[in-house]
Amino acid sequence: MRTYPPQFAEGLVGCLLPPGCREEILGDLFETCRNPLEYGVSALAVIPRVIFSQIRRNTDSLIFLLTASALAYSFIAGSAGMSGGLAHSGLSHPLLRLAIPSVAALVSLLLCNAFAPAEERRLHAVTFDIVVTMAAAAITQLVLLAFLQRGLMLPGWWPSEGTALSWIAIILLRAVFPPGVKVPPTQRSLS
Amino acid sequence: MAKPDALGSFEQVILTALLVLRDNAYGVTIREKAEELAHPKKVAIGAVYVTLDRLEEKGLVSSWLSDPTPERGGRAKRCYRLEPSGRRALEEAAVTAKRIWDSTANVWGRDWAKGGAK
Repeated sequence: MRTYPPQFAEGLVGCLLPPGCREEILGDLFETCRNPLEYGVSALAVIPRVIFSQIRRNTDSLIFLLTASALAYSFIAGSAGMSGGLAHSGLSHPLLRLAIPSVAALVSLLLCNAFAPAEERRLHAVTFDIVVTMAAAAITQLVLLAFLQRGLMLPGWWPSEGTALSWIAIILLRAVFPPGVKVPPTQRSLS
Repeated sequence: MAKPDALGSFEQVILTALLVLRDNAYGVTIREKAEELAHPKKVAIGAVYVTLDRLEEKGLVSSWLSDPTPERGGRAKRCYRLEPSGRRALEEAAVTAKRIWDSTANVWGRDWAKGGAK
């Protein structure tokens, strides 16, 4: 007798798969499903790989580097207002304090790239990416606060002109060079 | 487009699977054929998707979505086919593999060549 995957599991897997490959992978997993456990194991094995693959496909390395620089600068500029800047504040681990929110923001931007829809991106999608990125950075600080790791938090961070300029640069970079599927020439000739 | 440089061994397996499967090449069948070709190694379906994606980016294969079917829960298949550049790359790899086979058979003897690699 044919075994079907549980609907909630399919829904969950569908949410975790990037839209660029969701349809076919859900279909393949459905077709090969022999029991719910095997379905879950296969899905868990597939999801990280296809997310990574979509990040690689949708991310331009030069734009990524520019975005990473702008992001790092936004946090440096934000902390510059406090007692002569983070580097001269005498606080421990100044670089780590800057790196934690920057890396979280970058990872969330990469995930946004993986989940970028195949069609052309509009301004609301860019705005959504920026909100997600800021939220990721804020969450790192909340997590550090919750686990009483104040020694690793970015202290006294407040948006400055430099921060605003950096975020404008990031928005412009994503609006002008949107992440998206680079259509290979063979596919173009087919359509 | 990325430069279609030398193929990796798993890329060769996937391209061969596409060559053999012709019009019936999609995720599930490609994985089955790849596992048959790569025996006794196991082939993860995730590795198949990633490799197909990379080959498509190199312009060696092309893909399209078929119509949804009930046996797949109403979902479409992504079908793949070899492009002329993919065929050429596979031919080059096969010629190299043939040379390696002939050379090793010369050294290891006719019996080894008949029995194949164990």
